[in-house]
Parts: sequence; C-alpha cells; structure tokens
Amino acid sequence: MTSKLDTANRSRGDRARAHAYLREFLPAMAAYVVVLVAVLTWGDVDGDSPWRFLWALLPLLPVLAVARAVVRALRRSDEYAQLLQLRALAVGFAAAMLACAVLGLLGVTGLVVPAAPWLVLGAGMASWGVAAGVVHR
Amino acid sequence: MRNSIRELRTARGWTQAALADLLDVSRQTVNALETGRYDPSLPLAFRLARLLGEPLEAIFDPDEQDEAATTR
Repeated sequence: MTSKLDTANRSRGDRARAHAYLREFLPAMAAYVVVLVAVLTWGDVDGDSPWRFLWALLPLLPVLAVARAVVRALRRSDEYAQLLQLRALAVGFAAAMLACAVLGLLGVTGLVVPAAPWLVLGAGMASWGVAAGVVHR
Repeated sequence: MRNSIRELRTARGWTQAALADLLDVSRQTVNALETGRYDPSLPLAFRLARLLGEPLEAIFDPDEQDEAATTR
C-alpha cells in the first residue's frame, strides 16, 4: 500500500544536485552557442587563412566546460546513480563504436559519407541520452 | 537480497526523500534499495544500519539465490 511516506517527491539533496548541475551546464551550453555563432560569422573557416584551424577548434573550449559540468555532476551523484550513468554511457560508447565500424566498412567500398564524424558523435550522444532515460525510469 | 528498509523507514515516519537526505543519496536510490533493484555497497549499508539503529542482519536478508551462490 502506498502511503504519504512513499511519495515520489525529490529530496532536498536531489534538488541541490540538480541546481548545481544546471548552474554549471547551462552557462557552458550558452557559451558554446555564442562561440559557434561567432566562429560561423567571423571565423572564415572556409577561407585559406592559417587562423581558420584555430577558429574551427574554438568551440572546443565551451565543450570542455560542458564535459566538466557532466563529470562534476557524476562525482556529486551517489553510487546507484553512478551505476545507472555508467550503463547509459556504455550504451552510448557502443553505439559510437558501431557507427565508426559501419562508416569504416562502408569506406572500404569507396563510399564517402559526408560529415561522418558528426554521425558518430550524434549516434553516441543520442544513444547515451535514450539509454539514460531508460535506466532512470 | 531482501531487506526491510521500507518497514523500518515508515515506522520512523520518514519519507523516501527524508531518508535520502539523511543518507546523502538520491530518492531514486532509496526507492531502488527498498524494491530490491539495487544492493548497496558495504559503506552505504553500514550508514543505513547506523541511521536506523539496527544491525545489518536485521535489515538485510539474503534470498535463496544469494544463499545458493555462496554454497556453489
């Protein structure tokens, strides 16, 4: 029997951890969008300036901040949450590896898939996200 | 592993969220422990025992599968 003591309300700690994560994640994502727009607007990444490589890699800085936010959130979470995240990450990793293998094998036939690295990234991230949703049910 | 965390918690009038805060874990973790979906690490089990004021054996009870694994 479900009582008032079995409600699914989040605990104070849950809310504090979620706020701490959002405090770090959201500014990093906002910085990523700003840097990406700046790179696409002023970066001249299609030109022949030697600086274009630096411009192209500039969005990595906010991406590192996003990764830092995710790692810190993982370290703040408890052992069960870490186990669930590890399972989800394993699914994402497997999907990225599978996408790599598929694109690599297709490459043997001479088929060049445009933006292949982005497909690998997308497969890994999407699978990680879906798996995280499934394991946290 | 069977356990009596839910009974011991409700006997004290604590919600899952309250127990989660006392243990410094998420409410989802408390729910997973109570429903037997997750067996805690030793440090967490001892924290739980200390908090509930009960010995580990009074909280956790190995089920037949666990017993069979130890005799294999």
